[in-house]
Amino acid sequence: MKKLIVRVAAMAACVVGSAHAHHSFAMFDGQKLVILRGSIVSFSSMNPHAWISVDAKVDGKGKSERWDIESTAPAILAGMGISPKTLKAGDKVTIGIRPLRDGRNGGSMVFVVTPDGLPHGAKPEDLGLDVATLKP
Amino acid sequence: MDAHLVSKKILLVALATLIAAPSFAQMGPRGLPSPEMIANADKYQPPKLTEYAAKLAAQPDMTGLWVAMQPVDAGAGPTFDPVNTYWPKQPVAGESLFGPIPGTYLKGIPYNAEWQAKYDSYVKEALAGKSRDPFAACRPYGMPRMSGDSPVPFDIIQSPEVMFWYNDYGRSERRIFMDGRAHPTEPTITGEFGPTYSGHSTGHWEGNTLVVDTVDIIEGNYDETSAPYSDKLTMVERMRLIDTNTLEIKMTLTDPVAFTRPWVVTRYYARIRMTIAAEIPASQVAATASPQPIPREFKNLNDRLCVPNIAIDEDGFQVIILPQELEKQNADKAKAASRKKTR
Repeated sequence: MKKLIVRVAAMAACVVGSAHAHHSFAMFDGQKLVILRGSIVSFSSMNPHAWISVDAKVDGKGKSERWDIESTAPAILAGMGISPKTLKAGDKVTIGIRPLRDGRNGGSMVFVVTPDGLPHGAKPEDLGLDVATLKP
Repeated sequence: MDAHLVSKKILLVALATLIAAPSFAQMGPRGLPSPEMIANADKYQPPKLTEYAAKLAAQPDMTGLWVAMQPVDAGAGPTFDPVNTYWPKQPVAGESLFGPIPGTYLKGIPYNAEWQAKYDSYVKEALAGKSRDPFAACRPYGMPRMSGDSPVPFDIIQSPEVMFWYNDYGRSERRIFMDGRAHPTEPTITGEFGPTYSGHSTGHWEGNTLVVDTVDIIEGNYDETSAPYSDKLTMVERMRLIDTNTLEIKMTLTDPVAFTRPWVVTRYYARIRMTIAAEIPASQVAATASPQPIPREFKNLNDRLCVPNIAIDEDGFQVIILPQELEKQNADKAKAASRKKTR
């Protein structure tokens, strides 16, 4: 399987200005919520889904690692107040994700708390979380 | 020259012709317009679309950008038949979702036992975190998914003889011929024959209703819940405007391999104005729908190469590719290229 991934990745890497395909939600674990605390590496604004990459620690503990978080379409994110202008490389953030089931450092975005302490996306209180504890 | 050599020569010539033929294959007259014709072009008065326009004037106006409507209580989707869909418990509002959440399935498809079992197993696989939706591997939507499962609007353009549908998100187009032609039964001179993703559609007007018959569809899935259909699927659509900007399409789907009886699904579409960027979901653009005058604003083109951001594993399931894996690939490639240069 690894070989296959590598082959497709190599193919994808050499194409510029392409439209990425839409995949299923099934590979994320909708029952789990992982809180990442760290800083933005990059924000890739592309359709159909934007990606937010961070160097972060799970629950703020342990070693800092690179995580890639898939989010919704850039147009919808903009409606939530998330754009390349509001999420810049180096910004401290707290991000709630549904992690990949296969254990790699990836997940889908539930919410992002920006340096000003404001949550975007799902409301943390809807998930039983106190937003005050999520300030980056 | 012995017979063996001759036959070998003939074979070679035949082969060469076969290979050469496609590169020369171009239809229509050979030669360019005469110099006189080109020199006098400024004075030439071209015919206008008067006759065409008169024919069009008699047709109900379905030209524009249409988006499939969803019931207010629908969960994350879209699905092919949202009125008859089982929606599992939905996540909290605002969370990023990518289509229906696992466990979502269509109710009331008249599958026979074998195909129901097949569909049940796909739904179960999704619950276990495995999806085999081929759209993620860049398969076009085709019909009927193009009209029933599209999260973004699609264009319909009318002409007297043919109606064009274009859905760039699903990388699908469709032509509904209203010039009286029959479905093809043998290859045409240009070779279009056999199954396609959107099939072969012919249509005729019955009063204000366009009746469309579609055959020759490549087997596929109705939507992201992976509800399957066979390559024997045929469909009859009855399309009518029930309001200036509301289109009703009643689809009667017949699948002798998968169904015990025909399946009837009725969908509604809103004609909208695309005032914001392409590829945004219906919920976002619905607010821009305006009843009067008739919105006539088409999407920006998005006909870029589709790149699967997933890999397919040995069992046919999707595996996501993370940006950090792509970046590593790029970096490794750049390193290898620079090594090659310095050598």
